Amino acid sequence: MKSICLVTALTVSDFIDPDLTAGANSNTGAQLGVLTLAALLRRENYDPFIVNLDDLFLEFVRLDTTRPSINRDAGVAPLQPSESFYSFVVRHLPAQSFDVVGLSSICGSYPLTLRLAQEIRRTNPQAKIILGGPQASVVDVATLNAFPCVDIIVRGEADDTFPSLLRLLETEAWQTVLGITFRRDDHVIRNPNAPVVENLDRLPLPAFDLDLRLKDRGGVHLEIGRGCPFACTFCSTNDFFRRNFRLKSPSRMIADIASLKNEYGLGYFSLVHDMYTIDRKKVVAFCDAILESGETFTWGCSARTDCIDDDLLELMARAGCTGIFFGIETGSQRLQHVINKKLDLSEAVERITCADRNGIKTTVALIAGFPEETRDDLRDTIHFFIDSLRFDHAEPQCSLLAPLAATPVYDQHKDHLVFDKIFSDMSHQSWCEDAVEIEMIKAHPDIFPNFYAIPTKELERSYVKEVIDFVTYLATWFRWLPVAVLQDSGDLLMVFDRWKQWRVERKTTGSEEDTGWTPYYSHRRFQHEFLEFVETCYLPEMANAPAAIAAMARAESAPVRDQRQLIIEGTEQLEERAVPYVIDSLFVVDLEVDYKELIASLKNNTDLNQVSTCNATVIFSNAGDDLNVWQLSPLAGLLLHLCDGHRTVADITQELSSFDTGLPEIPADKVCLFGLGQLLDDGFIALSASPVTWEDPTASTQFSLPPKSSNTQQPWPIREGEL
Amino acid sequence: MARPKVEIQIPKDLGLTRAQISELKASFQKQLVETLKAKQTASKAKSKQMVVDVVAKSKNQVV
Repeated sequence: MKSICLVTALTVSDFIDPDLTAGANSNTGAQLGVLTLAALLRRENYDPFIVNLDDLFLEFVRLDTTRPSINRDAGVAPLQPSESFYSFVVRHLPAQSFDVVGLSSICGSYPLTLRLAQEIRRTNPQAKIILGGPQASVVDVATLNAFPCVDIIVRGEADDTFPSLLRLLETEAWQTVLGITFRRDDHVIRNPNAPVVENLDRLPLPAFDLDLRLKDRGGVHLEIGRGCPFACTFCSTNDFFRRNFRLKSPSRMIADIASLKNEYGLGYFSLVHDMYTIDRKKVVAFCDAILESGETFTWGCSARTDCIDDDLLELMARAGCTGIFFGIETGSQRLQHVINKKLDLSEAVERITCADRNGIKTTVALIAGFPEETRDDLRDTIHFFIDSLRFDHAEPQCSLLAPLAATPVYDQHKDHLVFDKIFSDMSHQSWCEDAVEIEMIKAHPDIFPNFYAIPTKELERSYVKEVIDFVTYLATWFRWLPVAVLQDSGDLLMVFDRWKQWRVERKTTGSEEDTGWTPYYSHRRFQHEFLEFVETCYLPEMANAPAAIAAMARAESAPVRDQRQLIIEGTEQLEERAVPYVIDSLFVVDLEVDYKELIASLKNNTDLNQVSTCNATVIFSNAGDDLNVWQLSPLAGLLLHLCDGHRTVADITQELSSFDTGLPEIPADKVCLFGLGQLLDDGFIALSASPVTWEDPTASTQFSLPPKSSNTQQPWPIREGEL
Repeated sequence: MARPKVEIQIPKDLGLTRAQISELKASFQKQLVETLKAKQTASKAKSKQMVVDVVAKSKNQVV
């Protein structure tokens, strides 16, 4: 019996902080194909060994002490200086020899996969090295021509092909297996395609027991079907699944989910299919089956906005659907036709609205940088991006177009690709590209086209990339300010251009530009500078509703948080000598417009100049992981500000009596005591028996925790002394 | 800063009439504008939420 090692494709992306990386990718499902193959091989009595590159990558990032970290474990062994992920993986490859090593592949990590194949060939010269997965499938001939370390490539769905190949590998007959490309003497032979798996129910449950981190993930990806019949010009899955739409049966899915729930305690299932909702009746059958089964779990899926309706969304929500990935691709109706997506964008907004109403989180995925894209198209796309922030449950994202191999857009432009090192996030895994991999990419554009660029006729790609970063990090650092600026200006691209010009002008005044090795926009400096831009440039030059914009900028400026501890002498008596103070975890901000009306105006896209002007005190207060935003009445706001940790209740009463409380019939002391009692009940203030003081400054960490959310942005306080 | 919850002793009887209490409640009423939810990823997206808050100016200076 042959010994077999299966290596997953690296799919996780690098975040700046190890904990962020680990947390954000805790629900990775990249090994789904490999784990399904492992289950199939077990049926034939093989005992495959799995190398999970995602898990290794997370370990690598955690150990890298050359980068900033928030909660790094003390005492972990640092990486050797300048060690690359490649050498880290090589150090962690199993020492034993295998008869067969299978490597899965995706476009973004294909250079790494091929380098690992080379290393495995060096250390394990007798092994058959077999590649599979989406990328190897579509660049099979070029890969075999350029990389002698690879013996065979299994194209497309490997569920039947790979086991068949292993069965026949001892004989010459393996060369007749359908769906493989291989080398015979100096020639590359490409056998005809293998048929797809028509009945997906016959596939086993992936061998999830080989996923050592499964119990930590909380949720898991689970394949519900394959094959999208549409033919978008940028999409690479058509070739892999042959546009043949298939679904697993509802009973099979529910049985798998129940089994995983019971065995691993999982509660969330990301149901993998490029376009799940194309057959409405089958989605209804699945939802009905969930509701009838009594199983409780949550799930997510992918859908097109023109293949789903409001009734179906409501049913899906009732059946536990909490997330839908909507590939909108472009906010330009013109480009919708050019890229052959052909969504009606107003209909798309209606579906996102309905999903939001039903509490379903939607990922609104957009792409910029299409070769035909004009400035107007780009503006439409970023407007769609920012407009989607009006919804509580929509999370927009925008990627730079990557020409994926075997896609129509690649075929059309493959002779004109340029290597400008402006990578799409589809195409890189970390902050620093590996120099060896860069050379591989430069030498083989036909194997690694996704690292290349299709020139854009009207727009500089660097400009498009910066616009993408601009809106992405506006949505990261702010909750409503980007929506307010869009709504106020009507042209966010014009604002971006003015912002760029402002930065150039500002640079001459000595502003530092060095942001280290990470993109400028990902730094808090961007947040500060954008607020400064709004205050000093946008408001005086461009604002149509300055009061609303100024209020929003103030509400979303990061609060400065004192790192020292309060010294208090707690008391439970609300009496004259007690000293009320504002709870220091709150963020309190005073505005000159009605904040509730302002938010309503942004949600409903109504005239910002119609928002009432008034003195409003707004409080951001933690409620578990969430953040409640309260607007106080003017009187409560006034009283809150008197609770400064120095004034006693008697002082506050006396001071309040000099103000017009608007309650002439009620004595000021009673107004004061009632109001303080209310603020205490609300948890906004507490009492000390003596004036509040601060401890001496203590050494604080250099890095403050990042926000847990993007469009559901929470103010991320600055620690005192932090830049 | 997390603190143990203590029961504050608020004077029970301020000698207020029902109408005055009602008036005071209205004057001190707070309004919930919105609840900002923490993010939960529920998509197949490979988006990068690259967030940096770095004091140091260059890689070499990062401790």
